Amino acid sequence: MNLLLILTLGIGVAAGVYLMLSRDLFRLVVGLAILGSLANMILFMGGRPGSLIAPVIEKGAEGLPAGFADPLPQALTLTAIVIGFALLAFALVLAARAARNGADPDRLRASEPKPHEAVKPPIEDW
Amino acid sequence: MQVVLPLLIPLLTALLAALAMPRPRLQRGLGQLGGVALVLSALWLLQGVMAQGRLSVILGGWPAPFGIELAADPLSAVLVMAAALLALAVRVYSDDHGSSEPTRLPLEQGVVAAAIAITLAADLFNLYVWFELMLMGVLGLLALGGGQRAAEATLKYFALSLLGTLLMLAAIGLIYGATGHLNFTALSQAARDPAIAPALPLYVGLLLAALLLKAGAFPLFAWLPASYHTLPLPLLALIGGLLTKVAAYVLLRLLGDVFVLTPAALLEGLGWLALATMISGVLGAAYHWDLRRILAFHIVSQIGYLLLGIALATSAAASATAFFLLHNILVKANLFLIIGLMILAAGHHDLRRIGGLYPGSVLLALLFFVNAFALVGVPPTTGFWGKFLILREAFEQGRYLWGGVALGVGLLTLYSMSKIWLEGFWKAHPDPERLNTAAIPLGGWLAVSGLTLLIVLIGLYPEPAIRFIDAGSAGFWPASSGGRP
Amino acid sequence: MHAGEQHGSGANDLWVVLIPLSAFALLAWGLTAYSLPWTFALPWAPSLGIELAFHIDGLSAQMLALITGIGVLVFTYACGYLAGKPRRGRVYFVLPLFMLAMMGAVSADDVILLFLFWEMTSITSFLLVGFNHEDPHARASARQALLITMGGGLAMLGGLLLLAQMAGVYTLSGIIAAAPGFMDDPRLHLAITLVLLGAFTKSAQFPFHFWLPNAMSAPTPVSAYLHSATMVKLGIYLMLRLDPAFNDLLFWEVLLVGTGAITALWASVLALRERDLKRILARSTVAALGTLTLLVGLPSPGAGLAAVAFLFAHAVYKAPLFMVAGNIDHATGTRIIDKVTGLRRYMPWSAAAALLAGLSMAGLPLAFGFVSKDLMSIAKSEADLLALLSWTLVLVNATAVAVAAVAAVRVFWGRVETPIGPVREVPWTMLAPPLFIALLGIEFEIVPHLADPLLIAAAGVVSPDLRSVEISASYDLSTLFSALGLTAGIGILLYIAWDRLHDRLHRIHWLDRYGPEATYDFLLHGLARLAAWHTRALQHGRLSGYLRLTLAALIAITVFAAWQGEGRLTVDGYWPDHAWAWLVACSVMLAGALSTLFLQDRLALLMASGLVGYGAALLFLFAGAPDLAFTQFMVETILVVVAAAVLPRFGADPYRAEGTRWGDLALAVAAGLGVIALLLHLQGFPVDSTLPEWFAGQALPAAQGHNVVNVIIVDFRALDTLGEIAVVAFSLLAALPLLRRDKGARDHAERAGNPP
Repeated sequence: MNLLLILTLGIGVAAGVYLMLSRDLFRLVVGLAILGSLANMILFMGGRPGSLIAPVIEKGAEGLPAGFADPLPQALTLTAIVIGFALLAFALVLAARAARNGADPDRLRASEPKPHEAVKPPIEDW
Repeated sequence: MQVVLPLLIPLLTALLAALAMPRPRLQRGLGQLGGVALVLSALWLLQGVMAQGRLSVILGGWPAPFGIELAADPLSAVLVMAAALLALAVRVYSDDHGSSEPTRLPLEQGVVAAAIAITLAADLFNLYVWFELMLMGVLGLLALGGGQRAAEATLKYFALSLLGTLLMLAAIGLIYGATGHLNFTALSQAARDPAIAPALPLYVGLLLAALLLKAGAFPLFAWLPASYHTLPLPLLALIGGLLTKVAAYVLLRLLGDVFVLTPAALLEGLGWLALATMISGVLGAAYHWDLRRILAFHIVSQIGYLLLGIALATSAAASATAFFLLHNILVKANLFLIIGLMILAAGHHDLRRIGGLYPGSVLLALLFFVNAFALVGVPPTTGFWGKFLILREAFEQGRYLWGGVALGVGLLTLYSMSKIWLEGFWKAHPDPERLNTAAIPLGGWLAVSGLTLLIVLIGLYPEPAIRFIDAGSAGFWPASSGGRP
Repeated sequence: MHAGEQHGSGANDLWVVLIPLSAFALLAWGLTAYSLPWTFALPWAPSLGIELAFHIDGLSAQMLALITGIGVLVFTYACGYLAGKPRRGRVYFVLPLFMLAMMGAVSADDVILLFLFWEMTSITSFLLVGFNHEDPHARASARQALLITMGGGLAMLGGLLLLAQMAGVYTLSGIIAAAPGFMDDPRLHLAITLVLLGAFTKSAQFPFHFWLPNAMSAPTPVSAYLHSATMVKLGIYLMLRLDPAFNDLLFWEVLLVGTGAITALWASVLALRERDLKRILARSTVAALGTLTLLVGLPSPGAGLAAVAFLFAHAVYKAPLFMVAGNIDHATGTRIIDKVTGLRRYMPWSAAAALLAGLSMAGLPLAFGFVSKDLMSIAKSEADLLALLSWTLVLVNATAVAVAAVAAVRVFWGRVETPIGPVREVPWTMLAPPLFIALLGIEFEIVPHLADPLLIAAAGVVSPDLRSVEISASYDLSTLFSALGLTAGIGILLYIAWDRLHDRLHRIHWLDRYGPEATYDFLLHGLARLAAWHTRALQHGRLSGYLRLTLAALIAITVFAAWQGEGRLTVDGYWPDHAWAWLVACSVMLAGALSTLFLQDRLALLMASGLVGYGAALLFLFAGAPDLAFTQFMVETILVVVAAAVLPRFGADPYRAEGTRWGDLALAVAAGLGVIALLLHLQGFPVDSTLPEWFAGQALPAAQGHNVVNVIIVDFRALDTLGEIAVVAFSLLAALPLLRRDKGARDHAERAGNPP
C-alpha cells in the first residue's frame, strides 16, 4: 500500500521538476510549490504512516491506544508546512515583481548582464 | 542561560527593532545595544565553555533526546563569538552610512540569530528551522535593494536555495524514519547501530548534497554569485561572512561528530569536490573586475579549503577546519567592508572605473593589504595558520595532490588580490574628481580597523585559539588517528 | 628626473641611515663580544611544534653583515636619489621593513619563521618595485616579481613542510641533523624540488630569471639593495644552508649545477641584447646568481668557500655599479648606453667609482682560483662534464668583464657622439656610497685576509669538512693566472665586439616569442581566457540552466552516496482497511501533478497544482493526522488564491512556443525515480519508537495536553515553533518593502501615463 503512495510521490516530484525547469516563470514557481508540498510529504513519510489512530488522547483515557500514528513527524510536518507557506507566499510576490522583464526566467539578466568583450565582463553602472 | 542568550538577544533585538520601525533613531540605538549585548553574551558563552568544556541546555527542561538541545563546545563557541563580532562590526559600519530601510535592522538581526542558532542547534530538525529563518532573512535583505535587479537576484537565490532546503527537509525526515532520532547525540549512537549503519549513507549523502548547496560547493554555487553582488556592502559582509560558513560548519559537525561512520569513499569524493570548488571559485574571481563579484567568488574558493579540511576527516583536520572557519568569517567579512570603503572613496565598484587609492589613503591601503594577504595565507596572519593546518594534515595523510592544489590556489588568490591592488590602489584614478577619501565615515574606519586588529593579533599569536579549538575537535572522527603528535 | 635638475643632497633625510647603522654596529659588537653560533628560541605555537627559533652561525653572520653594511650605504644613497621626490617617505618606511625581513630570513631556524620573513621580503619588494605606480610597466613588473617569487615561496613552504615531516622537527638545524635518516624516503625528491622552486624563483634562476631585469623599474637604490646585493641572494643562502644535508645527493647536485650553468650562460647571452645600462647590470646579476647556484651544487668543499666568497664579492662590486647607473640616470635622464658616453668630464667622481667597481668585477676570477683548483682535481674522473663546466664559467666571467667594461669604461671614457645638454655631477650622498663600497671591494681583493675570518666561518657552515690547509692550497697561482688571463682576454674581445654582437643577437626574434618570459605572458593571458570561459560557462545568468545543473549535481551526489552504502529497496505488502481513502488521495495528487504537464492555461495549471496539495491533505486525514490535513488544506487554498491574484502580473506566457523538453524530462524522471528509491529504501530500516512512545506517555502527565501533536509543538519542541513564528514574521517584513515599492512604482507608472 505504501508503494502506491511512494509511486505517487515519485511521479509528483517528476512533474514538479519538469514544471520548475519550464521557460515560464509562473510555472517555475508553481513547480517549486508542488515540490514543497511533496517534500513535506516525504518528511511525513519518516513516521511510517499507515495507522488511522490520531495521536490525541481521549478525555478520561490514560494514554494513547496501541498502534497510534507517530506524532513527531506530524508536528515537524506542521512546522514545515507553515514555513514553506511563508516562503512561497513571499516568492509569489517576488516573482510577480521580477516578471516585469518578461516571464521567461532566462531573460532575468538585470543582475547578470550579457558579456560583450572578449575576456572581460561588462561594466555595470549602478 | 549562557547557551540560549546569544540566540535570544538578536531575536529580541529584531522584534524590538521591528516595533521601532517608525522611529529610525530609536532603532539605531537598539541595534547598537543589541550588537554590544550579543558580543558580551558570546564572551560569556566562551568563558563558560572554557571552564566546563561543553554546555548544553534543553528549553523547557525536558530530558535529552526528547526536547530540543542547544549545545556549545569550543568549536561552536568560537563561531558564535566570530558571528557576534561580525554583527557588531557591521552595525558600527552601517550606522554611519546614512538612512536605511526600516526593515533592514530586524532582518539583519534575524540572519545573525539564525546563524548563531545553527551553530548551537544539536537537533536535526531544529537545524532546518534555523536554516529557513536564515533563508528568509537573506531573501528579505536581498529584496531590500529594490528595483528589477534586486528582484531578479532574489528570485534566483530563492529558487536555487529552495532546492537545497527541500532536499534537506526530505533528508531529515528520512533520517528520522531510519534512526528514530533527531538529537545529535542520540543520532550518533543510532548511526553506529549495525542494523542501521550500512544502509544509512544514502540519507547522509542526501543531507550532504543539501548542505553542499548551502555551503556553495562546486557545481552547486550558482545562487551565490548570481545574487550576492546586489546587496549593499555592509550586508554583503554579514551574509558573505556567515552564510556559507555556517553550512560548512554544520557539515563538519554532522560528518565528524554525528555520522562518524560515513564511508571513506564519500569523504574522498568530498575532497575532490573541494578541489574543484577552490579552483572554480578562484577562476571566477580572476574573471571579474567588479570588486563585489571578485570577493563573492572568493567565498566559493575559500569554501573549498573548508571542504578539504572536512574531507581529511581526522580530529586534527577538524581542528584545522574550525580554525580556518574562524579566520574566514573575520577576514572575508572584513574584506567586504574594506571594498565598501574603497567604493565609497573611489566612486565605483568596477576596477576599470577606479584607482588612485594608494596615494589617496595610506590607511585604507594598509588595511586592504593586511586582509588581502590574510586571504592569500601569508604569515603572520590567521589565513596562514588556517591554510597551514589544512596543508599539514593533507601532507600527513599523503594527500600531496590535494595539498599542492591548495597551495596553487593560494597563488591564484594572490593574482586576483594583486589585480585589486594594481587597479584600485596603484593605477591613477581615471576620473580624479570622483576620488574622495574623505567620504569614508568614522564608523567604517572603526569597524574595519577593529576586525583587522583582531586578525593580526590572532595571527601573531595563534596558540590560544588553536589550543581552545583543539579541545573541541578532539572527539571528532573518534575512529581516526589524528595526524598531530 | 630630467637632466640638470637638482634637488639637493637629501641630507635632511639622512636620519634613516641610523636604522641600518645601528643594526650594523650591534652586529659588529656582537661578533667581537660573543662567539658564534648564537641561538635563542621563544615559544610561538607549541601545540604545533613551532617556535620563534633563531640560529645565527657564520653563514648567517656573513649575510647579516652584508645586509646591514650595504644597507647603510644604500640608505645613504637613497636619501640623495629620492631627494625632493614625492612619496619618498613610503620608501623610507618600506626599506627598513625589508631590511628587517632579510635579517629575519637569514637568522631564522624555524621553517615557518623562515617562510614568514621570506614572504615579507617578496611583499616589500613588490611595494618598492611598484614605486612609480602610475607607470603601467612598473605595475606589471611589480606584479610579475610578486607572483613569481611568492609562487615559489608557496612551493617552498610545501617542501619545507615535507622536510619537517620527514625529520620530525620544524627547525632547519634539526632537519639538517636528521637528514642522513631520510635519504631513502620516497618523498625526498619532491621535497627538494619544491624547496628549490622557492630558492630558484627568489634567486632568479632559469626559467624564472626574467622577473629580475623587469624589476629594474624600481628606484635605483632599491635595485642595488634588493635586486643585486641582498634579496636575490636569499635563494642562494637557502641552498647554502641546506647544502650540508644534501651535498652527497646526485639529484641535488645535478639540479643545482644544471640550473646554475644554464642560468649563467643564458643570462650572459641576454646581457648582450640589452641597451639599458640597468638592465645590462641586472642580466649580469642573474649570470652571477647562476654561477653561485652552480658553485653551491658542486660537491667539493672548496666550492662552498668559493660560493661564499663570490656571494660577498658580487654584492661589493655590483651595488656600486648600480648606484653609478642611477647617478647617470639621475644626471642625464637616460640609461641607454648609446646616448651616454664620455661622461667623465661631467661626472668625475661617478666615473672613479665605476672604474673601481669595474676593476673589482673584472678581477673577480681571483675568487675562482678556489674553484678551478677543485675542478682540476676532480677532472681526472669526470673530465668531459667538468671541462665543459669550466668553459661555461670562463665564458660567463668573460661576459662579466665585458659588462664591467661597458659600465665603467664605455660610458665614461667613450667618444662623445651626441651632445646631451648640461650634465652636472650628482650630490655627495649619491657619490660617497658607491665610492666607499668600491674601495672596500678593491681592498678585499688586494688584502683578502680582511674578510677571511667571516668568509671562512661562513664556508665552514656550508662545508664542515673544509680545513684551512685546503684554503691556502687553493691559492694556486699558475692556475689562477691562466684563468684570469683567459677570462680577461675573451672579455675584452667581447667588449670590443659588443655592438656587433648586440645587433646580431637583437635580431633573433624567436627569443622574445618563445622564451620563459613569453611563457609567463602566455600563462597570464591564458588565465584570463580560461577564467572567462569557465565563468561564462558556469555563471551564465540563465536561471533554468542554473536549476538544471544544480539539480543534476544534487542527483549525482546522492547516487554516489547510494552506491557507497548498502541498498535495500523493500516493498511491504501492508494493506489497511482504509486503503480506499489512500487510493483516492493518491489519485487526486496524481491527477493534479500529471495534468500540470499538459495544461496550457496558467490558471488551470494553478488549480491542478492545488489538487496536489488537497490530495496531500486528504492523505493526512486518513493517516491519523487531522491537524495536518486541516493546515495543509488552508495553506494550499491561500496559496492558490494569492497566486491567482498575482497571475496577471506575469504578463504574456512564453511557454506556448515550447515543445517537449526531453532533457528536462530525463532530469525530472531521474528525480522522481530517486525519490521512489529513497522512500523504498526507508522501508528496510527497523522502526525505533522510543520518541513517539515517550511523547505519548508524557503529554498528559507532564504537559497537560490531550493532543500529542499540539503538545510537541507548543511544549516539547517549542524552539521549532519559535523559529517557525520568526520565519513567518520575517516573510512579512521581507515582503513589506517589496509591496510598498511595487505600489510606488505603479503609482509612478500611472502618473506617467502607461499602465504597468
